[in-house]
Amino acid sequence: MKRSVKKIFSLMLAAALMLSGCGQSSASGVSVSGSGKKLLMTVSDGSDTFRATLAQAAQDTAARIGATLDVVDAQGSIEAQVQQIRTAQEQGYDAVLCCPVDTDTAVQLEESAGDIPIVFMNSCPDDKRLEADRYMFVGSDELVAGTFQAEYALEKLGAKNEINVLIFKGEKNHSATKGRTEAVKNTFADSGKNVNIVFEDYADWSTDKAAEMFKIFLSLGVPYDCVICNNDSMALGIIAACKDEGIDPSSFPIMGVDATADGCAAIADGDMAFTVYQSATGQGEAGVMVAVALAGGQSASASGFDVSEDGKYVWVPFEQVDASNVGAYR
Amino acid sequence: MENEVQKGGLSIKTKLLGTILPVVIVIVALLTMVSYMISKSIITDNSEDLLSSSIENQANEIEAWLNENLAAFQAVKQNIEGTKPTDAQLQDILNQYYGYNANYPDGIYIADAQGNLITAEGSAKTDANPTSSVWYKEGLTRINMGFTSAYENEDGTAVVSASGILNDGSGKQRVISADMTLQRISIIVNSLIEMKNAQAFLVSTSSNTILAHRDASLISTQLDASSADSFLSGVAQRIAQRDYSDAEIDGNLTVFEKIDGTDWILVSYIPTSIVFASVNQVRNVMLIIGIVSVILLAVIIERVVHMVIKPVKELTSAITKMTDGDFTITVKASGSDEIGMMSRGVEKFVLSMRNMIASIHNVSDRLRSQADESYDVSKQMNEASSLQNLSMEELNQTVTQLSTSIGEIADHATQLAAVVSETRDDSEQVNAKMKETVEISRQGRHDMNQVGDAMSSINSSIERLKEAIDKVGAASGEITNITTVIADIAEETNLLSLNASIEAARAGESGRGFAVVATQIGKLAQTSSDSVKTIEGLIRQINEYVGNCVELSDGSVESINNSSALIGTALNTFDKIYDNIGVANDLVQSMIQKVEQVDDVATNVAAISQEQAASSEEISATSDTMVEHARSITNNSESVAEESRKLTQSSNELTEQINIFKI
Repeated sequence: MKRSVKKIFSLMLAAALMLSGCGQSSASGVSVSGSGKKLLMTVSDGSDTFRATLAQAAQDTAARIGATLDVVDAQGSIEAQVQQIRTAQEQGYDAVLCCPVDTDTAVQLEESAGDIPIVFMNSCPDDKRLEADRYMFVGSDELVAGTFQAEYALEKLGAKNEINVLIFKGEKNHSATKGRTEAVKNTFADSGKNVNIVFEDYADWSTDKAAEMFKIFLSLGVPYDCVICNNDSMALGIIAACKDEGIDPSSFPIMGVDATADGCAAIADGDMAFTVYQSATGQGEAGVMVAVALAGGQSASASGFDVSEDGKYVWVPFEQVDASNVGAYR
Repeated sequence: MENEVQKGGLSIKTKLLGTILPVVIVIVALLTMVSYMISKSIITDNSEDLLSSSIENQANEIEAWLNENLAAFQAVKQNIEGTKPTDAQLQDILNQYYGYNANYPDGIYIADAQGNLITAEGSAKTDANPTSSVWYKEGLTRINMGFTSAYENEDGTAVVSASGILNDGSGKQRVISADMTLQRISIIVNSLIEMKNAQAFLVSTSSNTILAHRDASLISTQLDASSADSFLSGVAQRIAQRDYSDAEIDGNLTVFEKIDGTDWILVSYIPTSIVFASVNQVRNVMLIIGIVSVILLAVIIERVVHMVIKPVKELTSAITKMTDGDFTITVKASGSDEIGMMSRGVEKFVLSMRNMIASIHNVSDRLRSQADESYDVSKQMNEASSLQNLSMEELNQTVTQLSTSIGEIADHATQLAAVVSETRDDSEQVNAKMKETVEISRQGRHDMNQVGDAMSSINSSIERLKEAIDKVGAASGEITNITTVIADIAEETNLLSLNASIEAARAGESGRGFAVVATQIGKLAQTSSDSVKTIEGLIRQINEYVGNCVELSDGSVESINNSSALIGTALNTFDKIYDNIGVANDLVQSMIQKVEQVDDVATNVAAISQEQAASSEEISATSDTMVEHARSITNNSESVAEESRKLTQSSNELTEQINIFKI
């Protein structure tokens, strides 16, 4: 946790430096690049580990291909984010990368951007708000993450006729919450197994909330076989609760998503069974490449990444992480 | 004629209408069709968009409605959890919220693991065995309140409950819950439909139960893919496949929308017939507008064409009358457009035509009389020239004959002259020959005389030769006698030598000299004998030759005598010939004189007759030319007559034609 806080701090510092030094650097010719594109990335809340990694990966990619990327933090404020995008439009940026604070504000964000394209990341706005080669989403298909989790559970507990599952969900209206949960349920339903969802509630991505809820569930004395969490943080909460209650977390599969450093550590320790690596690096890189393509008036496919059939999405694949391969993700 | 005019008038109109009307009809039809297609596409798209946005809004409103209720329950729950009330206080709180909202008429109630059910006072909620009820069991799976699946409560009413674990820190396992009837949810769902004629129903995907439907009998029933209702079965299939894209199912335009926070799917649909009803209405309106516009345009165009064509028609009838030669017509010229100008032009034309026709009348009359006259004259001329022609031909014939005769005479004369000329030449030659003959005969006679003389001398010479030869003969006889004596001596000598030799031989040696002389004398006697023999031969030959000479000279004498006689006869004959030739020469001389006279006359005759022939040929040629002229005059006069006859005809026709025009 400490390490991630440090990381975030350094990221923000870097972002601030970049913003303040933008004029300078371009004057000195350092940021004059092969592609010469000027991009702005607005992050909903830089305190999140995943988003911090994402921003860092984006910056690395931009530096590599010679584009200028400025990162700003909206700090959870939709007003701040709208203002940032408006400023980007006024200052002649070529494209915006946006981790939206609230996907419902997509219309206003697009309006603020004027003519410049927006590449949405991390949280996906409604399909209707996206437009091929103009307002695109670069990320990982949340359904795949949920499917991986359910498939892992079925594999581990396949011998049982009846499986009791707990699901800890993220924020209620978050696209990842909806997609991952729906995929888990659909996969179970399609398996033909008798799967009982004995607990399902929103722990809002929170370790503490998840721990508290799990303790309440434990107090009911209902038997359970596995715990599926929409992210690693909540899975860590389950592990913490187990430890508080004197239960061995390795006695039943606890599953998360994101393969955060802590999550991977928990897998390495044997506390957590499985997580899905959402490649923040891959998404950051894809986001920048797509943004540069759109900024140049090209189609997203010019970025070299696969574009979905309707031209609105660029999917960066998820990767399954368990004890066997966790070393590669630490 | 009137019909033709009528036809012509109609034809222009028909042409104009036949061109304009189809084009107008096609354009209107095209416009109508394009408008219809565009309208159809717009209406269909709009309907889909409207249905989509309707269901989106409806889903949002349902979500909001559910969340509002859920938030209210959650507030109560948090209130309870916060205050950690005693059972009595709990009862109070439940009482307070009872009747607070009509959406959950039974109020909020709580049950614990022991089966104790706490309801608000006055609430109709009863549950004999709460812990085995759906709301309790599903409530135990969450802390935040959420909706259960649909179930029937004790009263047999289809409900869904909002329930969750009451985490009040009492250590008791409690579930807080509130019921909402599906009937009510149905009403809410159906009230929120924005699109007219569209319907909606709510399906729980976890249990495939219909939660809300306008048809109350379907509420709380299973949505089955094998349902008898093909629309419902189609929807069920779609839901089973989790295919939530827009679709047309069993003649209904159908859209699906998930309700966030639940596993519910809102299905909204509108029969395509309703969507297309407006399209059909548009089509009908378009059709009516199209037909009306076509009719209206047709009438207007027909009228306009009629108006425009009317003066043209009048003009046409005027022109038709003019065509028939009636220039008594008057043309009304009005307006300043092209047709007005045309009318004025026609008016002017009629006036000028009238004048022109009148003058043509006069001219044609005069022309006719003149033509008649000229015909008569030319006819007479023709006759005259025919007569002349005939005479000329006869004359020509006569002249030709004359010419031929003269020619013949001239030929004959010329031939005669030539013959005469030849005769003169011949006679001159004869004369020359005659003179030569005379000379030759004179020479001949002279020569003959000389020959006679020569003959005489020859005769005497021959006589002397005969005498000489006879002397030779006699001499040779004497020689022969001598040789015979010599021969006898030689033979006796030889015999003597032989005896001598024999005697000599007897004498022996003494006789040897003698023997040699005897041998030599024997040889000499032999040689003398041989020479005598040779001389005898020679003498014999000379005798023969002399005999021959005598014979020959005798012959010659005879011949010469004969010749002399003959020469004498010839000389006589020569003399006679000479005389005859002299007479002939005289005759020839006189004949030549006469021939020369004839020649002069014949030459004159030939020259004169040739001159005559030449003159007669000139006359003949001249008369030929005259005949030719006469013939061409006849021909010309004939064609003049023909032409003037035609002229008369033409002028007659002209007069007839002109008479057609009425002025």
